[in-house]
Amino acid sequence: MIARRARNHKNGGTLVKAGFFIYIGISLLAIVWLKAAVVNLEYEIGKIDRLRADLVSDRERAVAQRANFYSMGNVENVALSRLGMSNPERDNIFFVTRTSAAGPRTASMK
Amino acid sequence: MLNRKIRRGKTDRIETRKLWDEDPVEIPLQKSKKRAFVLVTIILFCFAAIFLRLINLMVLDHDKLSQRAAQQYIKEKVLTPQRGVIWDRRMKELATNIETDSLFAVPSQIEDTRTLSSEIAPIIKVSTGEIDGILSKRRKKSFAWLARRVDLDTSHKLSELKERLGNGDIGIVKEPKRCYPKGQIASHILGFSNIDDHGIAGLELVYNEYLKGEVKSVSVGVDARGSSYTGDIKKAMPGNNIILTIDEGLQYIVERELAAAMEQWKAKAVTAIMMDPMTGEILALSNRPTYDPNFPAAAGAEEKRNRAITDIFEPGSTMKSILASAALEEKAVSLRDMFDVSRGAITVGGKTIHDVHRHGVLNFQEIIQKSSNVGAVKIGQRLGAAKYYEYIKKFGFGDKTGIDFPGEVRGIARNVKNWSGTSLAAMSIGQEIGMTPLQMVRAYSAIANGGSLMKPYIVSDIISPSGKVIKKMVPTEERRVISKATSDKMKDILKTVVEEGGTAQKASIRGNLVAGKTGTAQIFDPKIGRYSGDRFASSFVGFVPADNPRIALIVVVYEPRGGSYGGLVAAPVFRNIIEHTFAYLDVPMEKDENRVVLVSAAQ
Repeated sequence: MIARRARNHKNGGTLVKAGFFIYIGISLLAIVWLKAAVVNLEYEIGKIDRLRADLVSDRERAVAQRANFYSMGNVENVALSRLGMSNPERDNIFFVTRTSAAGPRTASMK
Repeated sequence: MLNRKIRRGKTDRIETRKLWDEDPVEIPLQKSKKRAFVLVTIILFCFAAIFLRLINLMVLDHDKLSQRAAQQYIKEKVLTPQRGVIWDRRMKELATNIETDSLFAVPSQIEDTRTLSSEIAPIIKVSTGEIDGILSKRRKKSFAWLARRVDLDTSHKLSELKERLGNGDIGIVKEPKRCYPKGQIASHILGFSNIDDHGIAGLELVYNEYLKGEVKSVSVGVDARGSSYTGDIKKAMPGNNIILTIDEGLQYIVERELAAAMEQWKAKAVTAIMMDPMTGEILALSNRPTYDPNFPAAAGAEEKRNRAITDIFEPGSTMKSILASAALEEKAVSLRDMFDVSRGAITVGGKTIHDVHRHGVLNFQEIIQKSSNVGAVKIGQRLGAAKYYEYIKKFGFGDKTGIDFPGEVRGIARNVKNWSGTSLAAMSIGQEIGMTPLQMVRAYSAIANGGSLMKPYIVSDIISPSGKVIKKMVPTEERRVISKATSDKMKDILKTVVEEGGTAQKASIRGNLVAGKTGTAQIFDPKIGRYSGDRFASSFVGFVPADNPRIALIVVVYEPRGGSYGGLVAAPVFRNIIEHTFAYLDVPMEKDENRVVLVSAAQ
């Protein structure tokens, strides 16, 4: 009886020890896995950030191109050469001024 | 006891017996303890050694070693800031930045420089020998620039090459590059910056401290291949942005007309400045010849010169308005005074001054209208040298205007004590005095705005990257030079100059009144020691609409060919600029109300 109890006690101790080592192992694996995941995520962030930088760069280039296309010289050149327009004389310019509309008078209680 | 007996009896045998010959059961207890002690001591010693080593590594040498470790997986990265953007008054970009690629090599790890050079050379369009020379010269170094700020097409080709080589022999880094999207427009105003993004000329130089931004270095994690895996989340602090008083549309009109005038008159140079006479804001400023600030190295010093503020010219007859203003203010003359200029010449201090045409008897207004030299000399004599000099200084001649541009000159306005017997007469007709076009247009602005000398300025606001206004320039009146009454009289006189009978009829525009004055000055030739007979500076300076001025403009044509008079050469340029300016600014004709159409607003 005593021998069995002692054997059970010995087996229980072995299980605790094994459990402890498994726990340590899993913990170590989890730490390593987490660390690897963080590094992997940093790679992803780096990739996305580089993509963002490229997009910002493209945007800057587009802004510069737009500024160039909309420069007065380009607009005039296109108007004169492609659209067949000409610079107006002062006589050709009419200034349009907006006034309030003259409509039928309506009665109101207000 | 038993062991002792055996040992005593068989001493010789025990010494020669080996451990493995012994029966474990018979191993003496004492011996076992001793061995265990030795073993434990050794283990403890080993642990102690490890412990001490750990203390050494983790405590004593911690800083040094952690720094060394960090070098392997952390890289210090310098972030180049972008220069601030320069906008015109309508927020159109005049100077901005684009990201470009720059190519570098790591010469210390390149095995075959010749082969690598031959691969790179055709892409960046330089000779193989040149690249090979750079790599060989810096053989032991770990960094060498091969090409900086390449264009987009070259950048793609270099990226492909880098990928194909697949080693760290070459690398590509992003660098911001200053870009002037309007090309030559406002080049003398903006200036340019060098390859390291430092302002070299114009506003880029003056406002470099505001524009340049703040260099930042950040630590990024790197892997075994040396490439960073934590993104460049932090950005360098970009420079502040600048808003100018310049209007791109007006600037373009001025530049276009100057280019046409340069072509028509085969002139050495042309300059024009457009100013708001009420505030001192510079609306446009241009010179010809000019250059493209995107390629400053391709232009010479002549092209880069901002003549509007760095070149002195003798104004000629445009100075008569200053003289007339002073004479009216000091009541040395009245509008009804008559002057006999019928001889067509006057001799002062042994020097004879002629009129271009003979006139007879002229009143004060007609002297300015017809630009009589003889009449101007007589007005000068009535005013007196001291008073004239006082007004020359009051109008700002001989002093810097204080505009925020580099290289502004004072001009030449000699102290009255140093005047010779002919100086008063010469200065009355705009000789023996030198000024910049900016000084002259500022003086006419004072006549236009009722008598206040305004400080000219070209930067309106400086704004931080977050949009906060750091500095705001406001119109500054330096001093009052003439009264409102004198200003009104001068406006009426200057209006007659562009009317029939005046010298600048070609400056008149349909529908609006122009006030201004022509100037034709011989250029002093230092080689012959006197004024040249065939080299002139032709100018016209005026303001419009004459009664309620919105624009003051000066046009100076240096050494035109085929004509010399300001009324013939510069006045038409003035008219063309103003006509297009009024169309651009939607200024209706004052004299033609039929041009205004009224429509009903939709309900």
